Amino acid sequence: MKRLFVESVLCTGCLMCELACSIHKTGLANPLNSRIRVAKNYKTGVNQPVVCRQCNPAPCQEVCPVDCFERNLETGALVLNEEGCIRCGSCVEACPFGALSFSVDGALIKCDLCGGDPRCVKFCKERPENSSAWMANPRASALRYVTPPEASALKREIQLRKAERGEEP
Amino acid sequence: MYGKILRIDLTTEKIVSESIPDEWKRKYWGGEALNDRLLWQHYMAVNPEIDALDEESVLICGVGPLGATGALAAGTKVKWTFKSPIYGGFGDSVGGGFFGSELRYAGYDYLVITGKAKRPVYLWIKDDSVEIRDGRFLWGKDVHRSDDLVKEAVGDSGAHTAIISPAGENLVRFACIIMSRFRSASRTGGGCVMGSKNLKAIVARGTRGIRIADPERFLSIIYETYPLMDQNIGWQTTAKQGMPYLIKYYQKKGAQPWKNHQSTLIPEDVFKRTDSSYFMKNFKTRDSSCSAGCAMACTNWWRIRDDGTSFGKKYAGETGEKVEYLALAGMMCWGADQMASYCHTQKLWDILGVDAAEMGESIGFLMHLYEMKVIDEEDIKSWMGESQPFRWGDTELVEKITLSLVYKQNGLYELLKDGVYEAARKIEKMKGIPLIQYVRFGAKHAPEPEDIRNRRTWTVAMATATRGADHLKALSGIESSQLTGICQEMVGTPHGVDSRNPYLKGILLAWEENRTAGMNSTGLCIFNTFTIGHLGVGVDIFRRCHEAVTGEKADDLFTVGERAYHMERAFNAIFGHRRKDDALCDQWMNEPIPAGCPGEGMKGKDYFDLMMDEYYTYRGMDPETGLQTRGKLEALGLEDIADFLDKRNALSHAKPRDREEFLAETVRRAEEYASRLDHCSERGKDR
Repeated sequence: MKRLFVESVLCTGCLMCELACSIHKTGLANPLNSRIRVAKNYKTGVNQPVVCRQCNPAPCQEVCPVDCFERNLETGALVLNEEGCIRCGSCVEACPFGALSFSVDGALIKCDLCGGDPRCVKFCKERPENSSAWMANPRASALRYVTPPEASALKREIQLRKAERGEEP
Repeated sequence: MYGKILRIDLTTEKIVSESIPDEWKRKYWGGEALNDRLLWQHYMAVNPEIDALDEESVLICGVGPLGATGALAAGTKVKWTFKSPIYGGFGDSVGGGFFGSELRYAGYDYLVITGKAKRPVYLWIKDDSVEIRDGRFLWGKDVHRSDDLVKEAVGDSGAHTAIISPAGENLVRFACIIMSRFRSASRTGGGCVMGSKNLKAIVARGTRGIRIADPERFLSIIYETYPLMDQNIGWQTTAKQGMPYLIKYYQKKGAQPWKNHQSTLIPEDVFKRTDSSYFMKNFKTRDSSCSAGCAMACTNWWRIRDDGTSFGKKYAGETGEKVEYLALAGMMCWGADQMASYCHTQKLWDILGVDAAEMGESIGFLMHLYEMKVIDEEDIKSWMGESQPFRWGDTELVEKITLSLVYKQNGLYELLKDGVYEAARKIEKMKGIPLIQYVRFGAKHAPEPEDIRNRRTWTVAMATATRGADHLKALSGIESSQLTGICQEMVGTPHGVDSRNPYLKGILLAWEENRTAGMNSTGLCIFNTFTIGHLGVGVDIFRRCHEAVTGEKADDLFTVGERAYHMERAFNAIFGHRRKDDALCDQWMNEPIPAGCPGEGMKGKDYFDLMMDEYYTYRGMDPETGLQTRGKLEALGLEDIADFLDKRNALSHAKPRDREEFLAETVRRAEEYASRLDHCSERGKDR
C-alpha cells in the first residue's frame, strides 16, 4: 500500500498542494481548507509540508468518542466519516504530527489520499536536479506517493545526502 | 469568482466595499487593465493635472481573477497603479508576495486608496473587518522591523504585509512598496505615493478563500501545462537557476550596463565570479516561491560565504532571499564585481525599499563622474559631510549612500531623491557643463539597467513603454530569444526575428505589448505565463482558465491587453505625451556599441523612425503625432476616454489603417529586405 513521502528540502513553499487539495475537496481556493499544510518560515525560507501519515494503529482513531474513522482497505487511508463527527477536537489534540485540523467553517478535515490519487502529489512539481550545490538533489518533487520499500530506499538515500551536505551552510 | 472593490478614503476614514460591474469583468478581466479603468474613473472625476503626491491622488492595488488560485501554477502578482511621482505620467508596478493572496482570500480584489491621513496609519484587513489604525509606532522603521512589529500589533503571524520604508515616508520619488518582506513593487514610485498619504502599511489576512466555478475542470486545465513545463528549456532554466541565469544571457547578448554603460560586457574574470553557476555552487541554499501557486519558484535563498573575495569575507553568514537584481537592477552599473556585493546590496535595497534600477543608475552615474573628475572630493564633502572617494564597486560606499538617501541624513538626499535624470540636471547646473549624455532615461524615468542597442524590438519597447523607459511592458522575447516559430505563427514569416531586418519589429512589439498587458491582467506572474504562452498550448488557455474560475464569458487576452495599453497611453496623452516623447536618451540613440561587444557599431537611431512608423500604424494610431485615433478607441469600447481626450485636444481624428492590409504589406517588405540580405551574404561567401 502506497504512502505519502515528503522531502522537505525540495519544497519551495508554493502552496500548489494546499490549493489543489482545497479546490478538489471544497471547490474553494483556500489554504485553510487544505488537508495538507505547509509550515512556512518566512524568515529563514525553510518549508515543512505536514501530511497525515495514515498511522496504524492511529491515535486519532483511538481517542474518537464516536468512532467515526474507518480504514479504507484499498488505499490504507484512515477515512473520516464526516456525518458522524461531533467536532469535539480530541483527534486534533491526539495527532502527534498536527496533521488534523478544522476548516474555516468548523468541520474537521482529514486527508483520505483522494482514493489513491492524491491531488497534492499530482500538483507538486518536480524540481530540477542539483538546484544548489548544498542540496545536491536528484530531479524530484517534494511530495511523492510511494510503496513502503521505495520509501525506505528513498529515506536511506536522503540520509546519505544529508550526511554529505552537513548542516545548512 | 471575483472579489470586491474596497474604497478607502484616508481623510474621512470612510470605507466602502462594492462589487465589480459585469461589464468590467468582461472587458478588463482584472489586474493591470481593471486597475487602469479604476485610475481613469478617479481622474475623470478629479483634475488629472494635480500633483502625483496631492491629497486627491489615488493609489490602486489589484489582483487579477486568476491570482491566488494556483491557476496554471503561475503564481500571484499584485499590481499597484497610480500617477507616477517620478515623471508625472502613468505609473504602475507589479510585485509578488503572499500579500496578494491573503487580500483575495479576505474577499477583496481591489483597493482604491484616496485622501491623506492626519497621522501615520496602517490598514488592517481581516475578512469583513477593515480598520484604519494608528501607525505612529512604525514610522521611521525599515521594512523588516515594521513587518515584525505590525504582525505583533495585529496578533496574527499568518498575516501578510505591504510596507513602505523610510524612503517612502521621506518622499524619495522612486521608493517602492515591499510585500511579504522581500517582494518589491518598485518601478515608478508607488512607495512615494503611499508615503504621501501617510499610509505606512497594509496588513491583510483572509480566511474565506476564493470560490472556483468549475473546480475539476480548473484542475485539469492546470494539469495540462505540467508536462509542457518539462519540455520548455526557458522554464527549466529559470526554475533551476532562478533569475541569476540572466547574467549569462545578458553577457551572451552583450546587454550588460558595466560601469555606467561604458561597456556592454562585463570583464571575463568578473563574469566568472558572478555567474549563476558560481552563485549556485557557493551561495544558494534553496529554491523558494515568491507567491501562492507558483511551481517555477525562480527566487532563491542564499547565505554569503567567505569565498576569498573582500566582501565575501566581510558579509559572511548573512542570509536573504531573492537575487533578481543581478543583471538587471544596477549592480553592474556601479561596477560591483563580487557575488557577496550583489547579495548584500539587493537585500539592503529591499529592506530600505528603494527602486534598484534608479538607485543603480544614480550611483553608477556618480562614480562615473568621479572617475572623469567632473566631481571631486570637495563636492562629495559638501554633500556627505566627509570626503570620500567614489570608487567603482565599493559596496560599503553604496550602503552609505543608500542610508543617506533613505534616512535623509545629508545633502545626498536632495541630490538623488528625484531620480537619476533630475540628479544629472542638478549637477549640470552646479558645474555648468552638459552631463545628461551619461544618463539613460526615457521620459525622465531610468530604465532597467541593461543595454538595448543590439536588439531592435527592445529599443522600440523602451521608447514606447507607457511608464517611461521600461522593458517589462513588452517583455519582448521574439527577437532577443530568436523565437522563430512564434514569429511564423504570428505574422506568417520568420524574418521578424532577424535583427538586421528593420521590418516587422514594430508590429511584433505591439503584439508582445498586448500579450504582456493581457497576462498582467490575469493576476498571474509574467515570467511564468510568458513561457506558457509560448509553450504551444496557445494563449487560449488563459481564457479557458478564466472561465473555469469565474464562470463568466470574457473577451480574449489580446483585446484585454490592448485596452490596457490604450488606457495607459491615453493617460499620458493628457499630459502632452506625443511621438517626440517616445524617444530614448542620447547615448542609446546616437552612440554606437563600443568595439569588441556584440552588435558592435549598432545604435538606437538606426531604422528607429521606420520601426516607430510601423508601430503606430499597426496600433491604429496617428504616426504623425503619436496620438490615438477615435476610430481605434471606439473599436475597443473606450468611447468615454476618447471623449475625454478630445476635450483636451489630445485625440487624432485620422482614420486608422486596416490592420490586416498593413500587416500583409509589411510582411512583403520584410521578405524583400531578407532576400537582399541573403544576396549580400551569398556574395560575402564567394569572396
